[in-house]
Amino acid sequence: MNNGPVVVAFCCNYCSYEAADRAGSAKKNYPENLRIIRVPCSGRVEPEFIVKAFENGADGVMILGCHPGSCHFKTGNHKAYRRYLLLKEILRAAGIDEERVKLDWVGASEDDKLVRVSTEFVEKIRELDTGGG
Amino acid sequence: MSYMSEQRIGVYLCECGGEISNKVNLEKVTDAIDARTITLPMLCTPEGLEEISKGISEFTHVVFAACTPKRIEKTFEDVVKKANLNPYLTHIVNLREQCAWVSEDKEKATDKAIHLIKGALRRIAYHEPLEEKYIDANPDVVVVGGGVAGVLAALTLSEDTNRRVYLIEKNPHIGGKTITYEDLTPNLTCAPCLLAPPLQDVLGKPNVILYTNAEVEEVKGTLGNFLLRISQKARYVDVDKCIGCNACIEVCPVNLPNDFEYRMKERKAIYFPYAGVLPNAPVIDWQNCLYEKERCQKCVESCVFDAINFDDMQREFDLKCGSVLLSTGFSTYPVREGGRIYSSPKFERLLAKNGPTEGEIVLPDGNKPKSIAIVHCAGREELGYCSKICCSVAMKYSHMIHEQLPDCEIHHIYTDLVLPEMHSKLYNEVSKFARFHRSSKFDVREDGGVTVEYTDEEGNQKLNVDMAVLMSGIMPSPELKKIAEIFDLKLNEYGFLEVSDMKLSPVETTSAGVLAAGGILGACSVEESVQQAVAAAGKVLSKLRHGEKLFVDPKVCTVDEEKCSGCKFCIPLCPYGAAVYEEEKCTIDETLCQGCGVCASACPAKAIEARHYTTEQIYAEIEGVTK
Repeated sequence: MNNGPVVVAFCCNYCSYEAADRAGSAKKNYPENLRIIRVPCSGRVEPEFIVKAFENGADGVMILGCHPGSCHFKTGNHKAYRRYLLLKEILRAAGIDEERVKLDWVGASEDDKLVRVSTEFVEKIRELDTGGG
Repeated sequence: MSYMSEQRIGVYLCECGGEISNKVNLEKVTDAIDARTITLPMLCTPEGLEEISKGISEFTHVVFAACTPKRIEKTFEDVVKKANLNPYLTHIVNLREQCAWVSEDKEKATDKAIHLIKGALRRIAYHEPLEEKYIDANPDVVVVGGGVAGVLAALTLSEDTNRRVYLIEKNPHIGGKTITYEDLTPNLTCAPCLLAPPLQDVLGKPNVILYTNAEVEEVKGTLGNFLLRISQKARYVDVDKCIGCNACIEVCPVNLPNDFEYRMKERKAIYFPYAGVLPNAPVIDWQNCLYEKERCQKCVESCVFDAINFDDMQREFDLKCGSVLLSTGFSTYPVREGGRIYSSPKFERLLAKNGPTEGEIVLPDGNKPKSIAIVHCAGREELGYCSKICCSVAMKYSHMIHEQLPDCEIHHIYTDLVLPEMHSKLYNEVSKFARFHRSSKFDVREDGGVTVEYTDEEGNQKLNVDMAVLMSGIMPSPELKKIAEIFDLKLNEYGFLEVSDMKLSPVETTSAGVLAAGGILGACSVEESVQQAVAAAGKVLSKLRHGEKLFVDPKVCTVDEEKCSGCKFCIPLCPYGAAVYEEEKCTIDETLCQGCGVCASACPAKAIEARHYTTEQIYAEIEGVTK
């Protein structure tokens, strides 16, 4: 069964994971391709996690954290952002299209944003796959 | 993992009354996964939980595929614990909110469910039992600062008579700034009348130990177990023996300006800062006392209680406690004062019945002023913020002036009036007799009288008055930097103490077990100080209970000493100061760590493990959800 691309989303416990739960409670659909992994903070996401996801056949990876200034752990999201920039360099060197990784801020109340960014991202990955990206 | 073969993993699938099973084909899920599965109509109902507790003992690890862990985690934890299984050997798959409820395609949702459960199955193989630790905690509290916030906090904390409360005050007396005021806004309550009972109370409490003339010098430890080094200056008067009879003061031959009264009054070398001070015992100003120079002992001779002790010395001692509450107050913007130009704190003393003029509003020459300008916002531009309480205080001044000198002209030069709720009532009254001039700029100078220049809508204006009061802005106290350094705390952009979370933890500092209340956190009224003080006391009371241990969450980060190279990468990254460098290795204090895992992600030697979110657990979950 081919259900299209596989997208791993690392969601921080306090904001984006909560937003995903709210999207569920509001029965707002988004592509089934999204596989959420709960982490305490976006600052817990190691660049190696993303590499590992690609190694295992993921087509795209999202890192969704709290908005700057709203991190439950104060500044974990800032650290995630710094690592994200570094990660893009690594991916470029490894020949992986950097567009296959996306970091975004999703607040706990932003279920609409979670649905929108994940839907758009899955679409983007689909385009990259069909377009030979 | 060596014991992998011995693992017996069970998967409980919840139909959630059709909410999950209508969207996800659970039979197909059962067929697709390589583990023993049990499907129940509702895991969270009493019947469901009963079923779980009956069957769970045959498993070493359990996956619950149900609703969001945020809702159900605690319920499953309880049932698992009752079955003597370590709760960290379980994992919850969010099959409802993050799968069934966000899909309309049963086939795709089923495939997603299978992958999410596979992720959990792979992950759980790496789960290890974690031990929930409880550490001994000292219920005693050190309160630093004996102003209205510190005193009210100490009183609240001392309700539990098993708890010792140490109150550290840098001045020879308690009561802070509030006790120096006559009336308080907005209801014009008499401050000494209001404060006398709690101040007397705190002195009389057997479990409150007051150290005046004292400061904190050093801090070790953390929440539950602090060790504080205190230094205490000599007072030369035994507070326990002295009855405050004044006999010593009458005979002292030294006359000096009293700084506590803004030099509007004289004092002796042995003195009370002002009348009615508590503790009711004087203090000796050693630098100006004639004992060392001339062997003057007049005060000693006059004291029938043998309370004066010239051999008193500065001393240092340690205090142990489980929590610290900081309430060292604020300071006021240093305005340019003159004979007829008063800063607001100095004017407060002029209004005070126990002040230098016994509350009479007089000019330095003894005459009564016929006109007074109250200039708002002194220092606002330099400080960069509105101090929010001064407008109301200015209204109070107007009211008190008018009451005493009904014919005195009163002018307010202001930029904005910050007078919420009750405070606007005071304005309504004052606006009947005082004149208000709105101006963003002003200049005040003394030239025989006082000239106030300001600019209003009609241009530059000049006002000649007999007296001016400058409403000094509220600023951090000068000793706050030292306190922040000692306690390793952060200051905000205005130099006040930063709290852990402005909204949800407004009285908790960035260090666990260190709370704060009152002017140390920013400009605030007496009632706000008290609210914060009592809130902070409540935080302590709920955390440190006598005879109870302190729970330490096992989901924290730990360092593998063998792997740690001592590079110190983790130390500046930790937002809680939990990572420290000791004996060429980095270590993490489990009582301070909040488990965010930022250090684990950054450690170049991979020596740090974020428990329950370990790298191998997350790798395994990635494999499961992708393959």
